[in-house]
Amino acid sequence: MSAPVKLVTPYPTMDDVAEVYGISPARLKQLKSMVDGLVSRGRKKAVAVRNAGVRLRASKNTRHAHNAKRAAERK
Amino acid sequence: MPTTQRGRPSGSSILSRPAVFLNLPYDRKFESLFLAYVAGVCAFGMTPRTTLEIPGSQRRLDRILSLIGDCPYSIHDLSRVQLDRKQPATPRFNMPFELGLAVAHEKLGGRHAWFVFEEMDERLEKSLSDVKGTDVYIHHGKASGVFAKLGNAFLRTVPRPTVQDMNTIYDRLRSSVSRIMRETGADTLFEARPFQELAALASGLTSQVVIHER
Repeated sequence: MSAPVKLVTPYPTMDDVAEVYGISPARLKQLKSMVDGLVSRGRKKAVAVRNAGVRLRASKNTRHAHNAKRAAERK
Repeated sequence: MPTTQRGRPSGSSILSRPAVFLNLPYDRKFESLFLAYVAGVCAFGMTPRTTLEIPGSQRRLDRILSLIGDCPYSIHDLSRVQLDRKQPATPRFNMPFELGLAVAHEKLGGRHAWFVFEEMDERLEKSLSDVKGTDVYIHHGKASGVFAKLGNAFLRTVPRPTVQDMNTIYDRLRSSVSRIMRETGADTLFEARPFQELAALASGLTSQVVIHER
């Protein structure tokens, strides 16, 4: 029995897909920048989730510093 | 099917790239699953095609046949079998009809594979018993269900995105919907322009999520 045929699908680029749909080069440029924004926002979110403890500590420190400053001003 | 992994063989044309004909219900309640299909299909490196792209001037049936002929795969979601609310209340026959066209195309020698998706288990045995014996992919009306079943349908494609990959693309795609709608002036996702732009975005996200982040 022959081995099952493996279907290998090449990944089209955004330019290829835009060509299929007839998206204009100017609009494609905007869409590409939208993808960049979505990807970088996703990365920032992932880092924020990963470093949640650090962020919490940082905000606590800021609050402590703020409270200490106010206490000093009251004296 | 072209055989170069993660890249296009030199000289290949757009026509040689795999496309998937999506035969889905166009209603507001189905929007999130519609996005899930677009994200999932793009995650496999394929280009989604729908009847939304058919210009009003063209004879619809001819264009549907030509779309099916152009696509090596088709997905038929037969989740909407109930009567609609608009008077006169009628079931929708478009989706089973287009499934019939795809089956006929394949049986008459076309190089085509078709997949039937449904929301509820065992309902299709009652609504369309002619497809008895065919694997029906039940997604339970959830995006994660669609991703899992797409993975089963396109079992032998390489590379294979994970459900997590598809979910990431889907989440990012969802967050761009309002902007795309605003910029295209569309009232619904089920119009040619938002569909095509979201598919282009999904393919751009795929190259970042499935290829680069691995």
